[in-house]
Amino acid sequence: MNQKYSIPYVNFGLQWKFEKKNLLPIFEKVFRKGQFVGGAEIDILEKKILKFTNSNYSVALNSGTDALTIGLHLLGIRPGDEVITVPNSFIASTAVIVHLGAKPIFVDVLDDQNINYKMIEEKITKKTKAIMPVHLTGRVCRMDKILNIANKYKIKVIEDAAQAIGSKFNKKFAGSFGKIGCFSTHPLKNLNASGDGGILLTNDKRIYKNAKMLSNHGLENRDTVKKFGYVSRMDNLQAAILNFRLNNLKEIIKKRRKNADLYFNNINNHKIKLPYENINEFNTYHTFVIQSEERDKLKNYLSKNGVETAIHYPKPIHLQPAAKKLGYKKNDFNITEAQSKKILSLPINQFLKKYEIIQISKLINRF
Amino acid sequence: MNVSLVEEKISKRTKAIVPVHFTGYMTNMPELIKIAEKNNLPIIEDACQSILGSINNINAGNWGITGAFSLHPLKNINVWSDGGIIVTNDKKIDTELRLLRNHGLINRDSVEILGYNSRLDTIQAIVGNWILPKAKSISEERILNANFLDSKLSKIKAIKIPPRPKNYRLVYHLYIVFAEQRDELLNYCIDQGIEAKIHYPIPMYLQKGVSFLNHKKGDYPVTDKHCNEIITFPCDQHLDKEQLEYICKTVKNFYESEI
Repeated sequence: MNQKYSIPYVNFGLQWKFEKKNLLPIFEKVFRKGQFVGGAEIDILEKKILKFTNSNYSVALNSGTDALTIGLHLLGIRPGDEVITVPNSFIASTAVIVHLGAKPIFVDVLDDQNINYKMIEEKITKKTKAIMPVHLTGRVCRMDKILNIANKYKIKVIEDAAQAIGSKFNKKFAGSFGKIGCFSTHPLKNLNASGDGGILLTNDKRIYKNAKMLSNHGLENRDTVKKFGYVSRMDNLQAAILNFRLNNLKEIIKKRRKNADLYFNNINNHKIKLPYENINEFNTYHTFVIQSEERDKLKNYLSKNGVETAIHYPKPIHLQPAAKKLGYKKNDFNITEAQSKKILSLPINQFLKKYEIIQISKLINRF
Repeated sequence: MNVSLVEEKISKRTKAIVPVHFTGYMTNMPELIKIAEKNNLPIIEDACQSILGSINNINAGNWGITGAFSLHPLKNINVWSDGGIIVTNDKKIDTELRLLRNHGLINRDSVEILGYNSRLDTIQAIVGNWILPKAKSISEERILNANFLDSKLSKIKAIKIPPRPKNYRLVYHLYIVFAEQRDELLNYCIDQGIEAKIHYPIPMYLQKGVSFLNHKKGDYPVTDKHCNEIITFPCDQHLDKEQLEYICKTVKNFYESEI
């Protein structure tokens, strides 16, 4: 497991090398002021992030997971309700539904790994209170179709945009389609903090105010508790780091898209299925996922040749031991299950050199 | 918590008791444990304000099935963000907690139970590791400061010092005394440059957030009385003797000039 890769999947070492000179004074500034919880950096971040989302309001939180929890809570999700979502996401999108006492209703995915909008309508019942599409890999779901269905049945949409900051569909930003959008700023994300972090987006002033309050114990002011809340605040330090990195987000996205283009132009192996971008899409490639019938062999082969890859995610949520109580079984979601055996995430991070991507492509062509 | 009132509140549906070791002053755990054992109820200690507090040399957090500490920047042992620690002597709970804090992941790809995202950042753990060896001396300095304040303030008739039982180790996350004309005293102290505070001016049971529990004013008369009398003075390890004396002198001046 501790193999040293010549091309690692992520490269925090390089990020630190490039940012050290800028980050150290930022750390010092926050520590010197002694304002750790709440504070100016949070306010700045909440304004700055709007530029990448075209939303009216944002709330900085301690994780993308808690952004989803607070979002669902504010959409009125209560025990017994149903929320429609996908089984091929990271576990958190399902866990937040279950923790609120609601039931996740899974819908299978399309070949682009995003929710199959054509299968949503048949899953809607009287208990359905929300649809939670997941913009996996940094590619926005078919939000036009999903919003049509949601409007028809008067169901709210909460976007799990954890992997999709800056992504667009029909020129509209991820996170700005639904009533609520949620980002993660986990260290592995395109816009990353140096710890857990997340952001909730909305155009609804009431949701904004309530999200802010819920994330801070439900406190209306220092002494008055209006609703029972959570402690889900983002740290001022993480906000300061994000404010600095937000200045580069456009460049980061550009670089990742360029890396994707390099793969498109250099991988030429009919046994490998590449991701694609439709004309009305702007994908930010949080992950660059290829599909291969011989995935495990390919992963092994790349590993032996010094290339670290990852799988997002090898075990679908409905087949996890934790999901036993939900009552799903094998073969319930054929596309998800088939993809889980084929998908492989290639290095795509913004620190990769052109020759490294060409080298990976050549290895894949030779496979 | 008035431990003698606990038993009458226990019903068939009672699943746990959560004593709060408020201000660094522990709940009467020897008595509470008897009640919990008799009724077969687990105790979860809210020891957020009481790290290194003890009764009969047994530390806060060690009495219940689990104990919770906060590492919030304002706590005696603090990191530079929100943060917390659970302690337990139960191996099974320890294992489950480690899963729960990290999405229930038993390894990168397998989710054993549905969990939360409640991890402490490494940066904050580094801060915690740096301050932890100083924990004892920090609490000792706070105790010395509190003893000093006690000795001076107890001479003022309008100030009542809470009981200081000999077998308790009080760690003074907050140094609180009861004061006559509390609001006037608070304003006066603030005017004189002392950052006195009230922890907390509105009792929990009267908060809007719990209105669905249908409590009404007067349901908890001792809590109500305290709300009108409590005042918190600075007591932290960074204060010097001159500052402590200034607090005592200011309080004394307030009551003397009132006459």
